[in-house]
Amino acid sequence: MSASQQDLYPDKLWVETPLIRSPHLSSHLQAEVYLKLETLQPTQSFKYRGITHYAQHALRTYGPDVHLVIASSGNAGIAAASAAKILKLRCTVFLPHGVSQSTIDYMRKEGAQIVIEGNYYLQARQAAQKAVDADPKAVMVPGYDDPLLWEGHASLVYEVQQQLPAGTKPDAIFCSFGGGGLAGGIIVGCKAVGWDDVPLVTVETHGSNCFYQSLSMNDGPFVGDVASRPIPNGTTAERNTQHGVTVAHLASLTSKATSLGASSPSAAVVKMALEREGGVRSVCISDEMAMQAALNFAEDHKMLVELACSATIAPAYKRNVFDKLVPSTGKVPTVVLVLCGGFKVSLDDMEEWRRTVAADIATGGEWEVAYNGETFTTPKTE
Amino acid sequence: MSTLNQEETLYHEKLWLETPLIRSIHISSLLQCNVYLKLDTLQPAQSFKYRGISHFAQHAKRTHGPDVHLIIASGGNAGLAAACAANVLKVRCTVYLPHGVNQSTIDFLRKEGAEVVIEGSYYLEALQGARKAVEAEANAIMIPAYDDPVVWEGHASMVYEIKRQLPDGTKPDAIFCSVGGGGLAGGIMDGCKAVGWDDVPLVTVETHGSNCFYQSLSLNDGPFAGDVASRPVPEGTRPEHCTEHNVTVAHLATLKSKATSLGASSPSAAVVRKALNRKGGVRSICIPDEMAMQAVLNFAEDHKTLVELACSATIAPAYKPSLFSKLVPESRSNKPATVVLVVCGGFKISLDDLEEYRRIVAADLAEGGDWEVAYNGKLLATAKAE
Repeated sequence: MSASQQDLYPDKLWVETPLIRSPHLSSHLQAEVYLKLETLQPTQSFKYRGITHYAQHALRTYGPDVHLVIASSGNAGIAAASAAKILKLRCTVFLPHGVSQSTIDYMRKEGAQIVIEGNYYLQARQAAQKAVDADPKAVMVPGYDDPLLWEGHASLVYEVQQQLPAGTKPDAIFCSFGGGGLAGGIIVGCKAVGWDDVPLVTVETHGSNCFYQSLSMNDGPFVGDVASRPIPNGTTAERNTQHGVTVAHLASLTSKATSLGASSPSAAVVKMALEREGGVRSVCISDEMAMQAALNFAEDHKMLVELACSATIAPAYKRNVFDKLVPSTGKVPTVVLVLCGGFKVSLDDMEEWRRTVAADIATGGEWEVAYNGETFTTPKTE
Repeated sequence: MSTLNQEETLYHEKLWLETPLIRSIHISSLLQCNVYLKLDTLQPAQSFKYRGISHFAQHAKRTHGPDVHLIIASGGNAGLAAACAANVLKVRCTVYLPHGVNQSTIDFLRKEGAEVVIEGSYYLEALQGARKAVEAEANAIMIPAYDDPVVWEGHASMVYEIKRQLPDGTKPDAIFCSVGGGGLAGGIMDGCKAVGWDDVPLVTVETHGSNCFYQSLSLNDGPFAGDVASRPVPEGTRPEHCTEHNVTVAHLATLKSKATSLGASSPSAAVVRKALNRKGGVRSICIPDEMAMQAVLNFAEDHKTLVELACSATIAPAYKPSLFSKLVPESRSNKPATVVLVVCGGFKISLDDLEEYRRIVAADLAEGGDWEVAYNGKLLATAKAE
């Protein structure tokens, strides 16, 4: 760890995760493809960084009686529960109905109180807010829209810089985008280490793409001008005056990559993405393409990842998509795929995805990929 | 010399990765212990073998020069480790495989730049082919599978790492590892000795159908119950006395386990001797294939990682709390025990395998009854569903 990183994170609870070179993807793309394995955090996702950082700050600010409250259907809740256990704080997780028993058990193993309320996330969030309003000791742990979270997540960039072969600057960093917490952290971290000009590729699914839709509503990397870009049915545009950006609010999310599930992104992160030197390359893929990537990744790397995570890897399994996102410069590119992790994947899911992908391939045709306002297709089989 | 200095001196040009040692929330909660997983699944070539084999390969290049030709007979992980190491060191590598090895394995080896020779219908014939090639070529060296001090020295590096990685200088109450031919166990024992952990209990895990180490221990005075003469030698096993190490080793006629990566018909005699000599002793267990399969499935659900049977065998006892408390009675004390499971890795596992294991385990559970676990000469019944 560099001296500056040690000062910034003196009592960090997260672990420095491995950055491993993927021989499979490197050979497939004729690139140097590195995987940042956030799957190996104590609670199996990158969320452990920002959320433990936030929890430690809450403890320092409010004392040991602080009560951490969070609304989450999974990984954030698990991270919060675990942070609270280590810091010996009270933690209550508000979940909507339908969360898997194994996820609930995980939180209980870490000593959190669980309240199941509402049919979807927003209702659980409202219940959580009520609880925070009623309890003077309670603090709401944010999902993705907070500088403390980004500061914690940013730590992964410091690590990547130290872990890449000396002096190597990535030609691109890939990450998934739900509400923007991870991307926010990566953007903040890149700026801190002199990588503000490193291209950031953000990946969402067609059915859960609040960030892509938000970028579309602003002057930025998207082709054409704002006025000419249609707003999908069910989406409302909201001007955020604090950050001077327009963000999309999606009425419904239809993707199976539920951990991406944010109906609107952090306005601050949208702003950061539009302002950074390296820009942002915003991509949307189909659920089936993410499923296929999860299956390929399991066979190649023997790891099971959620769809929200495999979305990041999916472009690397499709040569024509990768070549558009990371255009050839003549030299062998170095790319870093941030494997955000996630607990919500099972062997049953893998089986289901296998069937879904096979059925989809049988219908013929190609998969649609959206990229900064344009769409193109990629072969289903490769 | 401090262990840090020792480590730096031995391994300053190491090719392998320092792998994470992660505390398993799931297994720790199940056993009320602090259970750590040493994730050698994350090595290049996806198994611990990369440590010892890359160490051997570097040594070979140093002593024989860059024209050295590394040869190995292997159906899997050792071959891949050799190919990866040779690729990094820019030396020639040929892997001898018997017929019938998976095309994906062959492709994987070729992707790493190795030449592949397919010879013979089973491993021993491929090994003979490899030996002939080594004899015929002045530059060629055979990479040993498990019975070599340089290989153990490479594997031992993981113990130095574990010692640094455990919090607050904790000494484990037990270390668990799989045993095929004994390379990993040999490395762990050497490593333990080097860092002052010779008294740390070592639990070695094999499967009933591939248990040459367990059978060898049975042929010697040691931790097994009763005396040697009273212990029956299974059909098909031939005892052989090794005068150099003064131990008797078992030669198994056939291996019946699906955990094929364990597949050694006899263990390293030197490693058997180490196990009998060490202060912390050895707790040798054998489990049924089905129990290893169940562990593969549980580990996949908990830790989202696919491991071979030869690897899940190590984790299987940790999923059985009552068995575990017999193997590690230290865990019954008031202070929570610290246990390290060496997750040795291996690439020969697929989603199809997991589906097959699910069916086999379900069918086995439907039969009722318990699983039998052998432990230092005794048999323990273990509940199939726990």
